[in-house]
Amino acid sequence: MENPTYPEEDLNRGLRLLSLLGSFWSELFGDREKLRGHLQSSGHEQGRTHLEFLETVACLSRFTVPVFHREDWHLLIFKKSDAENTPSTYREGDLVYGPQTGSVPERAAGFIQTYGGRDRADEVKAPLPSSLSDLPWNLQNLVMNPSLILTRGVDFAVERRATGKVLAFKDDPFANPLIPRRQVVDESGNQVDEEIALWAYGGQFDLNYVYVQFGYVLGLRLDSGQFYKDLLNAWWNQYLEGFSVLHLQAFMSALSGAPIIVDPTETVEVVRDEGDRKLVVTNRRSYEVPSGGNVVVAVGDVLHAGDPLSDAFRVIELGGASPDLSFFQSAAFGNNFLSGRRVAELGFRNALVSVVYGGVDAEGRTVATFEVNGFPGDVEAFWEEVQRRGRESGKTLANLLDVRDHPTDEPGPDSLPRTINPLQFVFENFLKNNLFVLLARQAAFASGAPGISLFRCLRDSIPPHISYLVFVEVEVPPEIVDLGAPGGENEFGAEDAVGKFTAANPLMDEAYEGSSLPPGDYPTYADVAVSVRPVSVTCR
Amino acid sequence: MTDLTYIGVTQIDSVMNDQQKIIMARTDGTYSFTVPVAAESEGTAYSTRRGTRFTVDPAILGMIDAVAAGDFSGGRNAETNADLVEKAKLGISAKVLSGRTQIEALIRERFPNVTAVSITGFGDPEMIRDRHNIFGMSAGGKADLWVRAQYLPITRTIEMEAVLVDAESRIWQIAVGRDAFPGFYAISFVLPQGSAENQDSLELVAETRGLDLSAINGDFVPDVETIAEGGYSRYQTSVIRFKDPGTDVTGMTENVTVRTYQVGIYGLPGIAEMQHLVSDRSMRNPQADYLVKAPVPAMCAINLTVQYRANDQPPSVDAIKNAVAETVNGIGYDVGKIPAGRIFDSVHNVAGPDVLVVSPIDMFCQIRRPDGTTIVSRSRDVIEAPNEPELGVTSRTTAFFTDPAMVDVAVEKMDVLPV
Repeated sequence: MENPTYPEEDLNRGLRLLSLLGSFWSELFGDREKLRGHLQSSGHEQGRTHLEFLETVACLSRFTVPVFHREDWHLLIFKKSDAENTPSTYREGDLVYGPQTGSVPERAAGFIQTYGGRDRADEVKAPLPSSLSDLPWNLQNLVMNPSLILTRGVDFAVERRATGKVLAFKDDPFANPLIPRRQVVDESGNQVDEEIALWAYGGQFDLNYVYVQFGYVLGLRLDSGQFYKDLLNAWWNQYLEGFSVLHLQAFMSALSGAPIIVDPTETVEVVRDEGDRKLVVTNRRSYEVPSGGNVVVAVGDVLHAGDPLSDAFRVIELGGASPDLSFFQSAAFGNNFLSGRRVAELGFRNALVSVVYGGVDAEGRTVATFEVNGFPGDVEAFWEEVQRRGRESGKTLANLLDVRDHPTDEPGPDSLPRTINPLQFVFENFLKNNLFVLLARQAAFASGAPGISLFRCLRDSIPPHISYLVFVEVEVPPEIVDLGAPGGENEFGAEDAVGKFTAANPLMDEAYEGSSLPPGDYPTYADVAVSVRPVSVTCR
Repeated sequence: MTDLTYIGVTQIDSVMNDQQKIIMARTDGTYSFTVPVAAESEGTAYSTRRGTRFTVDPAILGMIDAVAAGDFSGGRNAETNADLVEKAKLGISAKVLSGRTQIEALIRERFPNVTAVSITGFGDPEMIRDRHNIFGMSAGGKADLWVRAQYLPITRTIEMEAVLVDAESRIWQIAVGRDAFPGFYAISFVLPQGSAENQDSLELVAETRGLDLSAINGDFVPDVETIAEGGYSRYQTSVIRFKDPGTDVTGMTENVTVRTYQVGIYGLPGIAEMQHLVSDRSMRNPQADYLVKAPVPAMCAINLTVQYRANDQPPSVDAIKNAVAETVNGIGYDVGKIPAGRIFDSVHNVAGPDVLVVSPIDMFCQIRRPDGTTIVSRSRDVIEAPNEPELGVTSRTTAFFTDPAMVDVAVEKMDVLPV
């Protein structure tokens, strides 16, 4: 629930207040202009008090707690010395360097900001108070009857720096005679600095309402924002009501900034791409899909609460009738999922591979294996262990794979299936009842969304006897190659050559027990990794 | 302390109410009777071990000794604001067997003395019970709840029947069933009936742990295959053998003759009740198999020297011992180690900033794995829980315990020249 915006109330309308006093005060009283001003300012103060009361009440509920505290008027004071020491530097964690999107004032189209370079020297930057999160409206030199109004986006901008937020003035405010100022002097009366003051209207202050009121309970502290509030509520619901698919979807939505259907049932009426955002309008609500996401619903679709509208994330329940595993290329399992210790994880591919007949073991039991990827010693030990467990339980893997209806003896090569899908095998036989998959496409996340690092929160809230796999789709940003240019050693162009370099030799280590190892032919393992990177291009 | 009057009587027929106690003859030629008492105040500092001597005021004519017949335990310190903030998450959680925090909230609500809960489940390397398949691959559906049921373990003295198994060597055997002290850690002592509380134990010559997985009152029985999986759970059993050279076995028959002994069993109480809670049909998830265990015990001893300025009062040794013990016992699963720095802090917190804790201190720790094997470590810097998930021993499963009696504090004046 949004609190009412103060100026829209009667309390700051002096004439209205004056008329309420009666005709003498509003029509006949000689100093009625002063009285009107007094009533207006007094009403203003009382209106502010009323709004803060409402804000306090809203803080009592995690659903209504305001993310920021709003102040009608706040006096901002800037020192000239601070302004001179607030350059804009393009570097990691600060302004974005590289090609600048959109038009940059006073820069040619396609302007590329170099790493470590500085922004325009003619802009004057002044640091904002750390608690002031945003200035959505205007700056004025006076609260009432101002002679100067600076408009956001025209006269100034709010920029984020690694050290905090700054105001970037288009024109030097210290040179503007309409802005009130005073000299800063030292103990000897010498001027050492200069200050200017501007009134900010509707400033949003970060008083950490969400964390202080509720976030501390769950021990989760993020930057104040709607994403944080949504994430906290989604996570809180899991503690309060237990883990469910709906709560998980709400959690994923808050994590990614991608919307999900809110009402129990909604019908899509409009899907529109507006360039920097995509809109999905249903018969009940309007949703904004971040620009990197692809809308996965169409007009006429009937959707239910929790259904995602974009491809930012998917929750895949493996226990269903026919779970979609097509996105898996393979899955690797380590000590968290497999008995015994190993050098590295074992990989199970999502592809048909041959079932290998390995003859019979010392006890006459058929040995069957299939392709499992990993360190050779690990793979060998894994299959030996599978055979041992099979013998002890009475049925080896070969027995279990035997295609005969009523086998009376150990299976031979013809009694085993020719192929098997290793990933499907382990999912269907071991994992599917207690495992689900979270598929996340990071490019479809909203800018500023908390992101995948907070998957860790789920450990506390999901039942301990179930678990999940996370697949994060990472996209490489497109690289534009001008085929009209000839190309060169370090530049792409019409002609290119495949370069190569020799990697370091694979390390090989031999380990022996004791120092008196007799000579012999001992098996050693070499772990060799060859990395081949596919490059896809689109010519235009 | 006690506010009531107790009278020792020699005949069982003379016992008319709870304030009349039967006088028993002891093996050392003296007589004793037991009266219930309570600590002077609440708090972990008032925990006392069995065998601790007390002074009695006013003095009782003819009394030789007053000794604690059992451990004084269960005392909890007053909660601080920080404790309450820590519990806020548990407070909002539904008390059900769902998420880890909800399970902890349920257990702590039903068992207020519980000080820490750690839950290992699907995807955790410590979870080996869900790998009972041909691939040895976790299939989920199971969780182990490692519950520190109270601040410190206690010793329960239980009278049990032993059978003579080797008359020549005078070896007796006792079968400790799963209900004797569910989830216990160790056998502290075996004594002939009527022995003094501070008498040395008979020699234990062997102990074999096992499992009894038969059904209990229709409760669900977890899937447990080995003692490494089921150690310190309520399904754990034990068979102990001990030597009793003082008993004349003439005329006794091996495997037939039985005799009653006092057996001291050391462990955390409440494990069976908690297992019942998670196994009961009114609470449990039909898709899940939860096994409650006492945490893997890491028994610690700390030796340190504290120096004070010549003109100051010496700090209280007991206060330092209690503070150090409280620090060690307060280390949670999320820390999993005892850094020496915490010991230093605890001493300064109670003795003030002007004392010196002489570095290095000596920390000793013995960990008994669920399979019965032990790990001993000693360090001047840090004692850490080992990372042996396949044996069920990691920081997620191990709890550090120390009794104030296991903290050795030497207090001495600083040896400095006057200024």
